[in-house]
Amino acid sequence: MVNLTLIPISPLTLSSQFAIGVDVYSWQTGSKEQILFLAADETATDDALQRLATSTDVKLYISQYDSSTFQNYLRSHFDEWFDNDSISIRNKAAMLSEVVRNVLSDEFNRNETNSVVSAAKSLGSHIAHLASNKSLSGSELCQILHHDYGTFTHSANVGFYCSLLASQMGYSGEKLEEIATGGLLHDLGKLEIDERILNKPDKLDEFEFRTIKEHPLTGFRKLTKVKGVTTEQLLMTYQHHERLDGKGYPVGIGGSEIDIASRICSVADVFEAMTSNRPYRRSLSHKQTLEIMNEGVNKSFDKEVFQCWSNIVHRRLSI
Amino acid sequence: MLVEHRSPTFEHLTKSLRMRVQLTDGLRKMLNSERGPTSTNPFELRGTSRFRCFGKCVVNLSPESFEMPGQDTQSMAIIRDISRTGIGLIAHQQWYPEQLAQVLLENASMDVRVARARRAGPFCFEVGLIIVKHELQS
Repeated sequence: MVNLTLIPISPLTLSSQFAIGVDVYSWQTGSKEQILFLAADETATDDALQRLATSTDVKLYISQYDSSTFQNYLRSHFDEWFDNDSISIRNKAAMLSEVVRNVLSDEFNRNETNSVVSAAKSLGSHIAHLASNKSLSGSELCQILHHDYGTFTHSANVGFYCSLLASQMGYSGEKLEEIATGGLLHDLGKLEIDERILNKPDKLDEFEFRTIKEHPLTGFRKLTKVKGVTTEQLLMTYQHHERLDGKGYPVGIGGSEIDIASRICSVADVFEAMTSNRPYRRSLSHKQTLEIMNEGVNKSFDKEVFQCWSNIVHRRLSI
Repeated sequence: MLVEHRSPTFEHLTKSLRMRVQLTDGLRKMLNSERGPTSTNPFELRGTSRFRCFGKCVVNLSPESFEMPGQDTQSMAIIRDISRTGIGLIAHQQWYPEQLAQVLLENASMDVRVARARRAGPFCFEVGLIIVKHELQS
Protein backbone atom coordinates (compact mmCIF):
# COMPACT_ATOMS: atom_id res chain seq x y z
CA MET A 1 0.00 0.00 0.00
CA VAL A 2 1.29 3.45 -0.89
CA ASN A 3 1.63 5.53 2.27
CA LEU A 4 2.39 9.10 1.17
CA THR A 5 0.83 12.52 1.59
CA LEU A 6 -0.76 12.91 -1.80
CA ILE A 7 -2.06 15.93 -3.61
CA PRO A 8 -4.49 15.78 -6.54
CA ILE A 9 -3.46 16.76 -10.06
CA SER A 10 -5.52 17.13 -13.18
CA PRO A 11 -5.16 14.27 -15.71
CA LEU A 12 -5.17 16.96 -18.37
CA THR A 13 -1.71 18.10 -17.28
CA LEU A 14 -0.15 14.86 -18.50
CA SER A 15 1.37 14.66 -21.95
CA SER A 16 2.24 11.78 -24.23
CA GLN A 17 5.30 13.70 -25.35
CA PHE A 18 7.11 14.37 -22.07
CA ALA A 19 7.85 12.37 -18.93
CA ILE A 20 6.39 14.24 -15.99
CA GLY A 21 9.41 13.54 -13.77
CA VAL A 22 7.46 12.37 -10.72
CA ASP A 23 5.54 9.22 -9.85
CA VAL A 24 1.80 9.55 -10.51
CA TYR A 25 -0.72 7.49 -8.53
CA SER A 26 -4.29 6.75 -9.47
CA TRP A 27 -7.29 6.09 -7.29
CA GLN A 28 -10.55 4.69 -8.58
CA THR A 29 -13.90 5.31 -6.92
CA GLY A 30 -14.63 2.43 -4.55
CA SER A 31 -11.03 1.19 -4.24
CA LYS A 32 -9.23 1.30 -0.91
CA GLU A 33 -5.82 2.45 -2.04
CA GLN A 34 -3.91 4.35 -4.67
CA ILE A 35 -1.76 2.46 -7.16
CA LEU A 36 1.23 3.60 -9.20
CA PHE A 37 -0.16 4.79 -12.53
CA LEU A 38 2.90 6.27 -14.18
CA ALA A 39 6.55 6.11 -13.06
CA ALA A 40 8.58 9.30 -13.09
CA ASP A 41 10.51 8.50 -16.25
CA GLU A 42 7.58 7.10 -18.25
CA THR A 43 5.31 8.94 -20.67
CA ALA A 44 1.60 8.24 -20.79
CA THR A 45 0.17 6.62 -23.92
CA ASP A 46 -2.43 8.51 -25.95
CA ASP A 47 -4.96 5.75 -25.21
CA ALA A 48 -4.46 6.05 -21.45
CA LEU A 49 -4.80 9.85 -21.64
CA GLN A 50 -7.95 9.51 -23.69
CA ARG A 51 -9.49 7.14 -21.13
CA LEU A 52 -8.55 9.45 -18.27
CA ALA A 53 -10.03 12.46 -19.99
CA THR A 54 -13.42 10.79 -20.30
CA SER A 55 -13.46 8.99 -16.94
CA THR A 56 -14.97 10.58 -13.85
CA ASP A 57 -14.06 7.62 -11.60
CA VAL A 58 -10.30 7.91 -11.68
CA LYS A 59 -8.37 10.59 -9.81
CA LEU A 60 -4.65 11.19 -10.11
CA TYR A 61 -2.26 12.16 -7.34
CA ILE A 62 1.39 12.93 -6.79
CA SER A 63 3.36 12.93 -3.60
CA GLN A 64 3.40 16.28 -1.84
CA TYR A 65 7.21 16.02 -1.76
CA ASP A 66 7.23 16.00 -5.58
CA SER A 67 5.07 19.08 -5.97
CA SER A 68 7.95 21.44 -6.83
CA THR A 69 9.25 19.00 -9.50
CA PHE A 70 5.73 18.79 -10.93
CA GLN A 71 5.48 22.58 -11.00
CA ASN A 72 8.85 22.85 -12.73
CA TYR A 73 7.54 20.40 -15.35
CA LEU A 74 4.41 22.53 -15.86
CA ARG A 75 6.20 25.86 -15.91
CA SER A 76 8.99 24.69 -18.24
CA HIS A 77 6.51 23.45 -20.83
CA PHE A 78 3.73 25.93 -20.24
CA ASP A 79 4.53 28.60 -22.85
CA GLU A 80 5.18 25.94 -25.46
CA TRP A 81 1.84 24.23 -24.70
CA PHE A 82 -0.05 27.47 -24.49
CA ASP A 83 1.00 28.45 -28.03
CA ASN A 84 0.49 24.95 -29.42
CA ASP A 85 -2.75 24.87 -31.43
CA SER A 86 -2.89 21.06 -31.39
CA ILE A 87 -3.42 21.07 -27.60
CA SER A 88 -7.05 21.44 -26.67
CA ILE A 89 -8.32 24.49 -24.83
CA ARG A 90 -9.46 22.16 -22.04
CA ASN A 91 -5.91 20.84 -21.52
CA LYS A 92 -4.52 24.36 -21.62
CA ALA A 93 -7.02 25.48 -19.00
CA ALA A 94 -6.06 22.56 -16.75
CA MET A 95 -2.37 23.35 -17.04
CA LEU A 96 -2.98 27.03 -16.47
CA SER A 97 -5.11 26.28 -13.43
CA GLU A 98 -2.27 24.23 -11.90
CA VAL A 99 0.29 26.90 -12.68
CA VAL A 100 -1.89 29.73 -11.37
CA ARG A 101 -2.57 27.90 -8.10
CA ASN A 102 1.07 27.15 -7.59
CA VAL A 103 2.41 30.59 -8.51
CA LEU A 104 -0.19 32.25 -6.29
CA SER A 105 0.61 29.86 -3.47
CA ASP A 106 4.33 30.75 -3.72
CA GLU A 107 3.67 34.46 -4.06
CA PHE A 108 1.10 34.58 -1.26
CA ASN A 109 3.55 32.79 1.03
CA ARG A 110 6.24 35.34 0.22
CA ASN A 111 3.66 38.10 0.75
CA GLU A 112 5.51 40.83 -1.17
CA THR A 113 2.76 42.88 -2.76
CA ASN A 114 4.80 44.09 -5.77
CA SER A 115 5.77 40.57 -6.64
CA VAL A 116 2.21 39.24 -6.14
CA VAL A 117 0.82 41.94 -8.44
CA SER A 118 3.43 41.31 -11.11
CA ALA A 119 2.72 37.55 -11.08
CA ALA A 120 -1.05 38.14 -11.07
CA LYS A 121 -0.77 40.40 -14.14
CA SER A 122 1.08 37.80 -16.11
CA LEU A 123 -1.35 35.03 -15.06
CA GLY A 124 -4.35 37.32 -15.61
CA SER A 125 -3.27 37.87 -19.19
CA HIS A 126 -3.15 34.09 -19.85
CA ILE A 127 -6.50 33.53 -18.12
CA ALA A 128 -8.14 36.29 -20.16
CA HIS A 129 -6.72 34.78 -23.34
CA LEU A 130 -8.32 31.43 -22.47
CA ALA A 131 -11.62 32.94 -21.37
CA SER A 132 -11.97 34.90 -24.59
CA ASN A 133 -11.77 31.64 -26.53
CA LYS A 134 -15.44 30.84 -26.97
CA SER A 135 -14.78 27.11 -27.23
CA LEU A 136 -14.09 26.95 -23.48
CA SER A 137 -17.41 26.47 -21.75
CA GLY A 138 -18.28 27.22 -18.16
CA SER A 139 -18.97 23.52 -17.76
CA GLU A 140 -15.45 22.54 -18.65
CA LEU A 141 -13.89 25.22 -16.50
CA CYS A 142 -15.89 24.21 -13.41
CA GLN A 143 -14.78 20.60 -13.86
CA ILE A 144 -11.15 21.45 -14.39
CA LEU A 145 -10.57 23.75 -11.41
CA HIS A 146 -9.62 22.44 -7.98
CA HIS A 147 -12.10 23.05 -5.20
CA ASP A 148 -10.08 22.56 -2.05
CA TYR A 149 -9.85 25.34 0.49
CA GLY A 150 -6.90 27.66 0.36
CA THR A 151 -6.78 31.42 -0.23
CA PHE A 152 -4.63 30.82 -3.30
CA THR A 153 -6.99 28.17 -4.77
CA HIS A 154 -9.96 30.42 -4.11
CA SER A 155 -8.21 33.44 -5.68
CA ALA A 156 -7.14 31.41 -8.71
CA ASN A 157 -10.68 30.14 -9.28
CA VAL A 158 -12.22 33.60 -8.80
CA GLY A 159 -9.73 34.90 -11.39
CA PHE A 160 -10.96 32.28 -13.88
CA TYR A 161 -14.66 32.83 -13.07
CA CYS A 162 -14.40 36.63 -13.27
CA SER A 163 -12.67 36.33 -16.60
CA LEU A 164 -15.24 33.93 -18.04
CA LEU A 165 -18.13 36.03 -16.75
CA ALA A 166 -16.64 39.28 -18.02
CA SER A 167 -15.95 37.69 -21.39
CA GLN A 168 -19.60 36.58 -21.65
CA MET A 169 -20.66 40.11 -20.74
CA GLY A 170 -18.73 41.45 -23.71
CA TYR A 171 -15.42 42.49 -22.19
CA SER A 172 -12.31 41.73 -24.19
CA GLY A 173 -8.65 42.62 -24.60
CA GLU A 174 -6.99 44.70 -21.90
CA LYS A 175 -10.19 45.19 -19.94
CA LEU A 176 -10.66 41.43 -19.68
CA GLU A 177 -7.05 41.00 -18.53
CA GLU A 178 -7.61 43.72 -15.94
CA ILE A 179 -10.65 41.91 -14.55
CA ALA A 180 -8.91 38.51 -14.55
CA THR A 181 -5.98 40.01 -12.64
CA GLY A 182 -8.37 41.80 -10.28
CA GLY A 183 -10.03 38.45 -9.52
CA LEU A 184 -6.66 36.93 -8.65
CA LEU A 185 -5.89 39.84 -6.32
CA HIS A 186 -9.29 40.41 -4.72
CA ASP A 187 -8.50 38.64 -1.43
CA LEU A 188 -4.98 40.00 -1.00
CA GLY A 189 -5.99 41.43 2.38
CA LYS A 190 -6.61 37.91 3.73
CA LEU A 191 -2.86 37.31 3.74
CA GLU A 192 -2.69 39.51 6.83
CA ILE A 193 -5.28 37.45 8.72
CA ASP A 194 -4.19 34.72 11.11
CA GLU A 195 -4.84 31.30 9.53
CA ARG A 196 -6.39 30.14 12.81
CA ILE A 197 -9.18 32.63 12.16
CA LEU A 198 -9.45 31.93 8.43
CA ASN A 199 -9.61 28.17 8.97
CA LYS A 200 -11.62 28.15 12.18
CA PRO A 201 -14.23 25.40 11.90
CA ASP A 202 -16.49 26.94 14.60
CA LYS A 203 -18.54 30.10 14.60
CA LEU A 204 -16.42 33.26 14.63
CA ASP A 205 -16.64 35.54 17.67
CA GLU A 206 -17.16 39.27 17.22
CA PHE A 207 -13.45 40.14 17.22
CA GLU A 208 -12.68 37.42 14.65
CA PHE A 209 -15.55 38.49 12.45
CA ARG A 210 -14.36 42.10 12.57
CA THR A 211 -10.87 40.93 11.66
CA ILE A 212 -12.19 39.03 8.62
CA LYS A 213 -14.23 42.06 7.57
CA GLU A 214 -11.06 44.17 7.46
CA HIS A 215 -9.62 42.25 4.47
CA PRO A 216 -11.08 44.40 1.65
CA LEU A 217 -9.65 47.50 3.34
CA THR A 218 -6.26 45.87 3.99
CA GLY A 219 -6.00 44.58 0.42
CA PHE A 220 -6.97 47.97 -1.02
CA ARG A 221 -4.36 49.73 1.14
CA LYS A 222 -1.65 47.36 -0.02
CA LEU A 223 -2.58 47.74 -3.69
CA THR A 224 -2.65 51.57 -3.58
CA LYS A 225 1.10 51.42 -2.93
CA VAL A 226 1.83 49.43 -6.10
CA LYS A 227 2.30 51.20 -9.42
CA GLY A 228 0.26 49.96 -12.36
CA VAL A 229 -2.72 48.63 -10.42
CA THR A 230 -5.82 49.91 -12.22
CA THR A 231 -8.89 51.57 -10.69
CA GLU A 232 -11.01 48.47 -11.47
CA GLN A 233 -8.55 46.19 -9.69
CA LEU A 234 -8.50 48.49 -6.65
CA LEU A 235 -12.27 48.55 -6.57
CA MET A 236 -12.63 44.79 -7.02
CA THR A 237 -10.49 44.35 -3.92
CA TYR A 238 -12.29 47.05 -1.96
CA GLN A 239 -15.89 46.46 -3.00
CA HIS A 240 -16.32 42.71 -3.53
CA HIS A 241 -18.23 42.38 -0.22
CA GLU A 242 -20.52 45.36 -0.87
CA ARG A 243 -24.14 44.48 -1.52
CA LEU A 244 -26.62 46.02 -3.90
CA ASP A 245 -28.95 46.89 -0.97
CA GLY A 246 -26.17 48.76 0.85
CA LYS A 247 -25.84 46.17 3.65
CA GLY A 248 -22.35 45.03 2.71
CA TYR A 249 -18.94 46.13 3.91
CA PRO A 250 -16.56 47.95 4.29
CA VAL A 251 -18.41 51.12 3.19
CA GLY A 252 -22.05 50.09 2.80
CA ILE A 253 -22.49 51.58 -0.66
CA GLY A 254 -25.18 50.12 -2.91
CA GLY A 255 -26.61 50.00 -6.43
CA SER A 256 -24.66 51.77 -9.10
CA GLU A 257 -22.18 53.08 -6.53
CA ILE A 258 -20.59 49.63 -6.77
CA ASP A 259 -18.30 49.36 -9.78
CA ILE A 260 -19.35 46.81 -12.41
CA ALA A 261 -16.05 44.90 -12.11
CA SER A 262 -16.73 44.58 -8.37
CA ARG A 263 -20.24 43.28 -9.05
CA ILE A 264 -18.73 40.64 -11.34
CA CYS A 265 -16.18 39.76 -8.67
CA SER A 266 -18.88 39.52 -6.00
CA VAL A 267 -20.86 36.89 -7.94
CA ALA A 268 -17.70 34.90 -8.81
CA ASP A 269 -16.44 35.12 -5.21
CA VAL A 270 -19.64 33.84 -3.59
CA PHE A 271 -20.14 31.07 -6.16
CA GLU A 272 -16.57 29.87 -5.70
CA ALA A 273 -16.78 29.99 -1.90
CA MET A 274 -20.03 28.02 -1.78
CA THR A 275 -18.95 25.35 -4.25
CA SER A 276 -15.64 24.67 -2.49
CA ASN A 277 -14.97 22.71 0.67
CA ARG A 278 -14.39 24.93 3.69
CA PRO A 279 -13.13 24.00 7.15
CA TYR A 280 -16.58 24.73 8.54
CA ARG A 281 -18.76 23.05 5.86
CA ARG A 282 -18.85 20.81 2.83
CA SER A 283 -19.18 22.23 -0.65
CA LEU A 284 -22.61 22.72 -2.17
CA SER A 285 -23.59 21.58 -5.64
CA HIS A 286 -23.77 24.14 -8.45
CA LYS A 287 -27.55 23.79 -8.53
CA GLN A 288 -27.97 24.39 -4.79
CA THR A 289 -25.53 27.29 -4.92
CA LEU A 290 -27.36 29.00 -7.77
CA GLU A 291 -30.70 28.55 -6.00
CA ILE A 292 -29.37 30.15 -2.82
CA MET A 293 -27.67 32.95 -4.76
CA ASN A 294 -30.85 33.55 -6.74
CA GLU A 295 -32.54 34.63 -3.50
CA GLY A 296 -29.88 37.34 -3.20
CA VAL A 297 -30.57 38.90 -6.61
CA ASN A 298 -31.10 42.66 -6.28
CA LYS A 299 -30.14 42.39 -2.60
CA SER A 300 -26.61 41.05 -2.73
CA PHE A 301 -26.04 40.63 -6.43
CA ASP A 302 -26.62 42.51 -9.65
CA LYS A 303 -29.41 40.78 -11.53
CA GLU A 304 -27.81 41.00 -14.96
CA VAL A 305 -24.44 39.75 -13.75
CA PHE A 306 -26.00 36.89 -11.80
CA GLN A 307 -28.17 35.83 -14.74
CA CYS A 308 -25.19 35.82 -17.03
CA TRP A 309 -23.28 33.62 -14.58
CA SER A 310 -26.30 31.39 -14.08
CA ASN A 311 -26.49 30.88 -17.86
CA ILE A 312 -22.82 29.93 -17.99
CA VAL A 313 -23.25 27.36 -15.21
CA HIS A 314 -26.61 26.06 -16.48
CA ARG A 315 -24.97 25.27 -19.78
CA ARG A 316 -22.81 22.93 -17.74
CA LEU A 317 -25.74 21.34 -15.96
CA SER A 318 -27.53 20.62 -19.20
CA ILE A 319 -24.58 18.72 -20.65
CA MET B 1 -5.56 82.29 24.76
CA LEU B 2 -7.00 81.28 21.39
CA VAL B 3 -7.57 84.29 19.17
CA GLU B 4 -10.56 84.07 16.84
CA HIS B 5 -9.28 84.50 13.31
CA ARG B 6 -10.92 83.45 10.08
CA SER B 7 -8.69 82.71 7.15
CA PRO B 8 -9.77 84.73 4.06
CA THR B 9 -9.18 81.68 1.89
CA PHE B 10 -11.52 79.64 4.07
CA GLU B 11 -14.16 82.39 3.99
CA HIS B 12 -13.93 82.68 0.21
CA LEU B 13 -14.15 78.91 -0.33
CA THR B 14 -17.10 78.40 1.98
CA LYS B 15 -18.98 81.09 0.10
CA SER B 16 -18.19 79.73 -3.34
CA LEU B 17 -18.62 75.99 -2.62
CA ARG B 18 -21.98 74.38 -1.98
CA MET B 19 -22.51 72.16 1.04
CA ARG B 20 -23.78 68.95 -0.59
CA VAL B 21 -23.90 66.74 2.50
CA GLN B 22 -27.38 65.37 3.25
CA LEU B 23 -27.36 64.59 6.95
CA THR B 24 -29.35 61.59 8.13
CA ASP B 25 -31.75 62.20 11.01
CA GLY B 26 -29.53 60.22 13.37
CA LEU B 27 -26.43 62.21 12.51
CA ARG B 28 -28.30 65.53 12.67
CA LYS B 29 -29.55 64.67 16.16
CA MET B 30 -26.11 63.58 17.27
CA LEU B 31 -24.43 66.72 15.97
CA ASN B 32 -27.03 68.96 17.61
CA SER B 33 -26.93 67.28 20.99
CA GLU B 34 -23.48 65.89 21.68
CA ARG B 35 -20.32 67.86 22.53
CA GLY B 36 -17.05 67.01 24.25
CA PRO B 37 -15.32 63.64 24.76
CA THR B 38 -17.00 60.66 23.13
CA SER B 39 -17.20 57.06 24.25
CA THR B 40 -15.24 54.52 22.28
CA ASN B 41 -15.76 50.91 21.27
CA PRO B 42 -13.20 48.42 22.71
CA PHE B 43 -12.76 46.91 19.23
CA GLU B 44 -11.58 50.26 17.85
CA LEU B 45 -8.36 50.09 19.89
CA ARG B 46 -8.10 53.89 20.06
CA GLY B 47 -5.14 55.48 21.82
CA THR B 48 -6.55 59.01 22.02
CA SER B 49 -9.91 60.49 23.00
CA ARG B 50 -12.14 62.03 20.40
CA PHE B 51 -14.07 65.23 21.03
CA ARG B 52 -17.43 65.72 19.40
CA CYS B 53 -17.67 69.08 17.65
CA PHE B 54 -19.72 70.58 14.83
CA GLY B 55 -18.40 72.87 12.13
CA LYS B 56 -17.67 73.06 8.47
CA CYS B 57 -14.45 72.60 6.58
CA VAL B 58 -13.10 72.44 3.05
CA VAL B 59 -11.41 69.26 1.81
CA ASN B 60 -8.96 69.36 -1.10
CA LEU B 61 -7.65 66.16 -2.63
CA SER B 62 -3.86 66.39 -2.58
CA PRO B 63 -2.21 66.54 -6.01
CA GLU B 64 0.13 63.72 -4.90
CA SER B 65 -2.80 61.45 -4.12
CA PHE B 66 -4.44 58.92 -6.41
CA GLU B 67 -7.81 59.97 -7.79
CA MET B 68 -10.92 57.81 -7.98
CA PRO B 69 -13.64 58.17 -10.62
CA GLY B 70 -16.48 60.60 -9.96
CA GLN B 71 -14.78 62.31 -7.03
CA ASP B 72 -14.86 66.08 -6.54
CA THR B 73 -11.30 67.19 -5.84
CA GLN B 74 -12.55 70.11 -3.70
CA SER B 75 -15.66 70.03 -1.54
CA MET B 76 -17.18 71.15 1.72
CA ALA B 77 -17.71 68.76 4.60
CA ILE B 78 -18.92 68.77 8.21
CA ILE B 79 -16.56 68.17 11.12
CA ARG B 80 -18.01 65.66 13.58
CA ASP B 81 -15.13 64.96 15.94
CA ILE B 82 -11.45 65.59 16.40
CA SER B 83 -8.64 64.05 18.40
CA ARG B 84 -4.89 64.63 18.80
CA THR B 85 -4.20 62.29 15.87
CA GLY B 86 -7.29 62.32 13.68
CA ILE B 87 -10.40 64.06 12.50
CA GLY B 88 -13.83 62.69 11.64
CA LEU B 89 -15.82 64.31 8.85
CA ILE B 90 -19.17 63.88 7.20
CA ALA B 91 -18.79 64.25 3.45
CA HIS B 92 -21.20 64.08 0.53
CA GLN B 93 -18.95 61.66 -1.33
CA GLN B 94 -16.88 58.62 -0.66
CA TRP B 95 -13.20 59.04 0.20
CA TYR B 96 -10.87 56.07 -0.24
CA PRO B 97 -8.29 54.68 2.20
CA GLU B 98 -4.76 56.08 1.73
CA GLN B 99 -5.96 59.09 -0.26
CA LEU B 100 -4.16 62.25 0.81
CA ALA B 101 -6.01 65.51 1.32
CA GLN B 102 -5.78 68.93 2.89
CA VAL B 103 -8.50 69.97 5.31
CA LEU B 104 -9.04 73.72 5.79
CA LEU B 105 -10.73 74.80 9.01
CA GLU B 106 -11.62 78.35 10.03
CA ASN B 107 -8.25 78.97 11.59
CA ALA B 108 -6.13 75.97 10.77
CA SER B 109 -5.19 73.63 8.00
CA MET B 110 -4.07 70.03 8.16
CA ASP B 111 -2.64 67.43 5.82
CA VAL B 112 -4.54 64.20 6.29
CA ARG B 113 -4.62 60.60 5.10
CA VAL B 114 -7.94 58.79 4.73
CA ALA B 115 -8.23 55.83 7.11
CA ARG B 116 -11.74 54.63 6.32
CA ALA B 117 -15.19 55.68 5.12
CA ARG B 118 -18.68 54.46 5.87
CA ARG B 119 -21.86 55.35 4.02
CA ALA B 120 -24.56 56.65 6.37
CA GLY B 121 -27.08 57.64 3.71
CA PRO B 122 -27.43 59.26 0.30
CA PHE B 123 -24.74 61.95 -0.08
CA CYS B 124 -23.66 61.21 3.47
CA PHE B 125 -20.38 59.43 4.25
CA GLU B 126 -18.64 59.30 7.61
CA VAL B 127 -14.92 59.60 6.92
CA GLY B 128 -12.07 58.98 9.35
CA LEU B 129 -8.85 60.84 8.61
CA ILE B 130 -5.40 60.60 10.16
CA ILE B 131 -3.68 63.94 10.70
CA VAL B 132 -0.26 63.88 9.07
CA LYS B 133 0.62 67.56 9.67
CA HIS B 134 -1.30 70.54 11.00
CA GLU B 135 -0.76 74.27 11.01
CA LEU B 136 -2.55 77.10 12.81
CA GLN B 137 -3.27 80.13 10.62
CA SER B 138 -1.76 83.31 12.04
